[in-house]
Amino acid sequence: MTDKTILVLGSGPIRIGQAAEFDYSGSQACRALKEEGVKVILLNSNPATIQTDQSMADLVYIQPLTADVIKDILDEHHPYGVVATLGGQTALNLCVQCEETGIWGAYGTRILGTPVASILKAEGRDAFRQTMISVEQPVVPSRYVSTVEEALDFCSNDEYPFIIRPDFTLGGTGGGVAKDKEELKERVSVGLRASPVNRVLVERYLEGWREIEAEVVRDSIGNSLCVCSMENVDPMGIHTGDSIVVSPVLTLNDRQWQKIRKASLDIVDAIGVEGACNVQFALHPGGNEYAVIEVNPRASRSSALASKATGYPIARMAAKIALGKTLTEMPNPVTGVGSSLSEPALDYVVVKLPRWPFDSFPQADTTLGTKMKATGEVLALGLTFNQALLKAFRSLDGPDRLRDQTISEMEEDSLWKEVLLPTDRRIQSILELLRRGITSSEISNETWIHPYFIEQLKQISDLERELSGSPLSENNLMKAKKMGLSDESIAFFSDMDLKNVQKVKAEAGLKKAYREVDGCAGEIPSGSGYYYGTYGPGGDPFPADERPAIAVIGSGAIRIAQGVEFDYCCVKAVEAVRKRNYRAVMINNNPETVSTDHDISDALYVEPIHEEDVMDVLEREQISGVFTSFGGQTSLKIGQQLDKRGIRILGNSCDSVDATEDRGRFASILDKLAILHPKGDTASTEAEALKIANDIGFPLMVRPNFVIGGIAMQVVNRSEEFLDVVRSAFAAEPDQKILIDRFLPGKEFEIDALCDGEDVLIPGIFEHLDPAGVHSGDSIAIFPDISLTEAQRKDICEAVMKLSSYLDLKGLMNVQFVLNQGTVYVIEANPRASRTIPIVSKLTQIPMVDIAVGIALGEKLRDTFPQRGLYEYRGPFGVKTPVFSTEKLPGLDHRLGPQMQSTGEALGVHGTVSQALWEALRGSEWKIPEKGRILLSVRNERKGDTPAIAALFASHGWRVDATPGTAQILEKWGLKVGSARKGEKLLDDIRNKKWDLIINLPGLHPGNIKDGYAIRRTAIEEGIPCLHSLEAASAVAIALSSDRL
Amino acid sequence: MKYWLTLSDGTFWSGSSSTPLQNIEGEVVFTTANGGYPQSLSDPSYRGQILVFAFPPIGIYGVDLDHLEGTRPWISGVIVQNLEISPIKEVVQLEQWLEKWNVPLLSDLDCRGLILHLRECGTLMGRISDNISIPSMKALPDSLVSDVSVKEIISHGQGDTHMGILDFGVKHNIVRELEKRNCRVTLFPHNTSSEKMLLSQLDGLILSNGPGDPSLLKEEANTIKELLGKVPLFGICLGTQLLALSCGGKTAKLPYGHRGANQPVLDQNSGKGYVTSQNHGYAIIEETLEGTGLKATFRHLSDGTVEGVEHETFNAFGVQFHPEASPGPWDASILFDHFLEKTGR
Repeated sequence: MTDKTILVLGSGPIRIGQAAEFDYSGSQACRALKEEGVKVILLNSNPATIQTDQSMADLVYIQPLTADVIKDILDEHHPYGVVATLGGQTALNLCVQCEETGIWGAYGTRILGTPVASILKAEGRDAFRQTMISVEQPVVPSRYVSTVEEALDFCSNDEYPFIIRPDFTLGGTGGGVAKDKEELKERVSVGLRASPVNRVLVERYLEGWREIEAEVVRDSIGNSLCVCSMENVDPMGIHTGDSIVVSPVLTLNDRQWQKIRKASLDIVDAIGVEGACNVQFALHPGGNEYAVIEVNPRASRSSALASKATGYPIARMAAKIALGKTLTEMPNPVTGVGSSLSEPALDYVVVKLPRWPFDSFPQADTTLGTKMKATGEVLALGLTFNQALLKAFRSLDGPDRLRDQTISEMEEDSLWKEVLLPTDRRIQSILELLRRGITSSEISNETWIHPYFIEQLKQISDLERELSGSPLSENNLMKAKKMGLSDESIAFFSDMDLKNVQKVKAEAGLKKAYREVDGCAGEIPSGSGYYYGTYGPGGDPFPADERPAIAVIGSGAIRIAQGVEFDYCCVKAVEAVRKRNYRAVMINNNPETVSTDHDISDALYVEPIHEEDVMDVLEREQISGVFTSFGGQTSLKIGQQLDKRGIRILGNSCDSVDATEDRGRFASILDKLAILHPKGDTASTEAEALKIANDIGFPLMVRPNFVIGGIAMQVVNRSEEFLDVVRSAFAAEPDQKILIDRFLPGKEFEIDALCDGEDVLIPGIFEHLDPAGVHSGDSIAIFPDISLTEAQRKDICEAVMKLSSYLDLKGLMNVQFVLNQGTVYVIEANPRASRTIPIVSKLTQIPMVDIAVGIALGEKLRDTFPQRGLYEYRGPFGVKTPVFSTEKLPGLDHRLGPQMQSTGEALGVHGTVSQALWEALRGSEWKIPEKGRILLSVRNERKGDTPAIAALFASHGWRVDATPGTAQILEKWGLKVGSARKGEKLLDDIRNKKWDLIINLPGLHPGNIKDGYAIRRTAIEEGIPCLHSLEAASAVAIALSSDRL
Repeated sequence: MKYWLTLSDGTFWSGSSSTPLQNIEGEVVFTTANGGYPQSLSDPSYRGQILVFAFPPIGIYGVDLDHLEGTRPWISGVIVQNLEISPIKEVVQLEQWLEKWNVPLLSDLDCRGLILHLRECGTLMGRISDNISIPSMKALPDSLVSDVSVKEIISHGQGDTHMGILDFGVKHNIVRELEKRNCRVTLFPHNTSSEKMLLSQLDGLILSNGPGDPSLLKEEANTIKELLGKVPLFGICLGTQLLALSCGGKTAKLPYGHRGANQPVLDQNSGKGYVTSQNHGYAIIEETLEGTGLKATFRHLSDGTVEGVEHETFNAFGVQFHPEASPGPWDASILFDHFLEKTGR
């Protein structure tokens, strides 16, 4: 294969349903291909990933995943082949598109791995059915329909009952079961009316059937193995991404499982997969009858989970298979000896829990169904289901799932609702019902969850009761630790001090044991360095390693505001630590990421990022220092706890974190350093609020911690208005705190700096396009800035330098500024790796994380990098655009504000800002035509600013429509503008795709927000791009007109 | 109640049992299969052994009595990390089933630690008892095969093809696989003479799996020698080792055997790999096949040991792994079809 060039397609921006798992699979693929000596070209528009790091491929194209970009790449490099099965559905679809349009053929580019014909066999509805019939596999028929006729046409008589699930409705309203033709007619028409997009899913109704998954790898000569078996705890009807998943299957006997295993191998063979494939089955509650739900002929979220559950790197093997390697010739990738055809055998139980974004989006509908809503997931390994489950609970951030007060205070009826509807709180609610004496059999009868799992939960609730009934005995403590409870939980249930629990534990000599994941259940020595902790006897020997150990704490599950960019930072940190000849220890629990690939670090611990679990690892590793500044807020928080326990935190001190997070402390530091910042304070009473307002003066930004109606932040100009806001906020929640700041309207800027206490290096300044008030993660951002003056840049640098030396920083710092009337003010500072680090690193080629690690370990900036201060960046512009998954979360308002909403981002890179913006928009899969129709709906305060934008769109040949108020102003200017209809009719027009782009600036009063909500929600559900600021709108207008080559 | 497993090298491991156990001794072996514990425990090939399960929770679905591999649990003792109880009422619980047959079950034992130890030291004798005491047994008794083999000729099923099984401890799924293929199946006790079997007008004879050291079964190997060329032969596991011995080959004990449901083998004729179920402590020494008329046809992909042989002149072949699976993958079940083809029916 040497000398061959191979193109690898990535998966683009992170969204719900297509998350970090494709960074894992894509990165593994690149590494595997490079190992085989081929030259790798990578195409991916997502800048936050490890995959787009320049070390991953010989050539990295951060460009839109589109056919014309591919054509350009093929034109220039004439690659031998393309690997498209490791970049999710995006890459797969693009590959099929290029095949159908003959692009691959025209350049003689071979499709490596699973051929397109096979992909179509798995994904084409009829072809799939035919293929399944050919290997005698029953299928679960399902189809989206938009008319009753279509539904009748689809449902054949012998397959009733069917279940009807309307698309995009809240809590599954409008759905139901149809037992015959007449019922089908009625249900479908009700469902269609309920669905805002007029679409329902019709599926054969399999009440109480369970879901089982098989992860298969097959090579080009037909060798195959089933890497992993997975059992969903939640029965059919809940997307597997939203289900609790257990591996290996626990409740099936050998015959039942082997039947499914054989079916999956037969299916994969019939389809002709060459690489990874996921097969999902529905299983009758009795366990003996099954049907195929779907087949994914590519690496998937499940393959990431399977890889981490077994240690078997599926994507890596799939990449090698794509090059023609066979499973019979490759060594076992976990043990390094033996064969890659050895099916992984586990000697532990794995539990995966989804991480939902409902804490960020309280308005979103929390019921679970066939559409995935989770943004990420956590993985835990243990000797039993309970041990793994309770570890997984702890791996999720937020309140302890076992001690959730909102659950314990709920009425029984409401608990049943959470369980049966069901919601994200299903499992906690089941536990609570068990605590209240509801029998396991009643719960499993009602939920169709296998009795085994309910019985396990029952054991937890029984143990809780035992703990609370008597003084903590050694015996009970051992039992609790084996079950997976934390010391904290034990203290809570036995009503003791944590210290006393720890004392009993020490006296009993109870210690955690660590076991290695080896893929062979101990049969062959492995040395994978992948560990999990457990209680019970034994523990694997600690490997000999002379080097001092340094740990990097990861960021856990992907969630809103904590995405794959922090995994990038963690992986780069581990590399930097290893490079400097330390033993690099990674602690993380996200199965989707690169950081949990066991060959990235010297030792990987898949453990909860929770004080007790982390401390145990650090003790085992006799750690000499810990990095907690690369894994986002999760690791920062644990850093504060570790610091208190006397652990050496490397890089920026925990006190510097506290100094910047404590608003009062930070303000006084800024005052002391004579750094300008908006004045602000916190009020807990109306009187306090008024006093603060008088002291600071208007306009004010008012941020109640808690408000009903979703207005989390308001800018107020007058005291009457202020009083209204404060009163309504305290009325909604009397005990809350209200943050009151001077509001400085203007443009926002942001920097990432490397600091060693003496010098700083600022690679460049980001300029935000969206105005102050929009979360920086949701704003379109330009790098480097284009509108600051030299003096303003100097001010920024000076502020950073002062802060760095005052806080005695030894690492990274992110600072955000607002430019108000020519003056630069600091809004916030975070002494840690930020969301923009991967972008800065990739654009400037300055290895930010590597240098930061070096500084923390004693290197000096002046010895590492030739420049100091603001770097003289001479490269192209980078424009970052946010990517949202709002359409996946019914109920959520897509109105940008201080709460971050986006799940991912794309980067466009070009010599001009407008071209870079255009690339970024296409990288985010915005489908804006060059000529189209635009709708303007702008609130009164900003109506006057719309004419120039409207004129610009019109001059590009766009047809401009506006809501009546906006239209009036445009007409007065003499612009030709169509008047949009109002209310339901307007929404109908949006549904009928009357516009290609919508600019919606909602009013700030609750009523206006509600109107705007309907517009934004309808647009998002129809996939019509929506802009929320005039600044972004004019940028898009300019981008449209830019001279594209 | 606390119990101990003491190994012949003096190491001991603690476990517990909710019911009183009788002291037993046996050869301690481990399996890495994640499922199918009732099938393993009822497999006559485990006669005389104490089986350690690598997978921690065992017992979740009870015992599927309708699909066992022998008439009872043939194992001498069972060791698990975590004994589970099935929440389903109708199910026969693992612990009760073993208790009924007086088979001791030790749980809460550090199975992984024990397995890593066996991996280093090789298979050892062990003793389960309420104190730490080194096993007195030095080797397994010679009677293993006669314990588990049928005592008289037994016929099963109906069909055009008449398949014999020379029973050294046959797993029931071998019989089921044949019945599924329309075979009439006759089981012969391990010491049946070749003349007697040949009188039965067999279309083919399966040399079954079974427990223990094949080199002790001299008479049986002789019988097979007499059958070579007179009836198509298909050896499975022990049966294959006996086929090799009958042709003049030799077997040796593996350090800790192959026991699991994930073992990869390569078919050297087709170049195709299979994931197989295995349970053997002995293997054919490849060098001793020279001049026997047998050639290696399957090889273990991890350690290269012989996993199958075929006779160059006579209609006889065998595999070291278990095409009948149970527990384990069904990938190699086509070998039954292959054998049926070789019988000419």
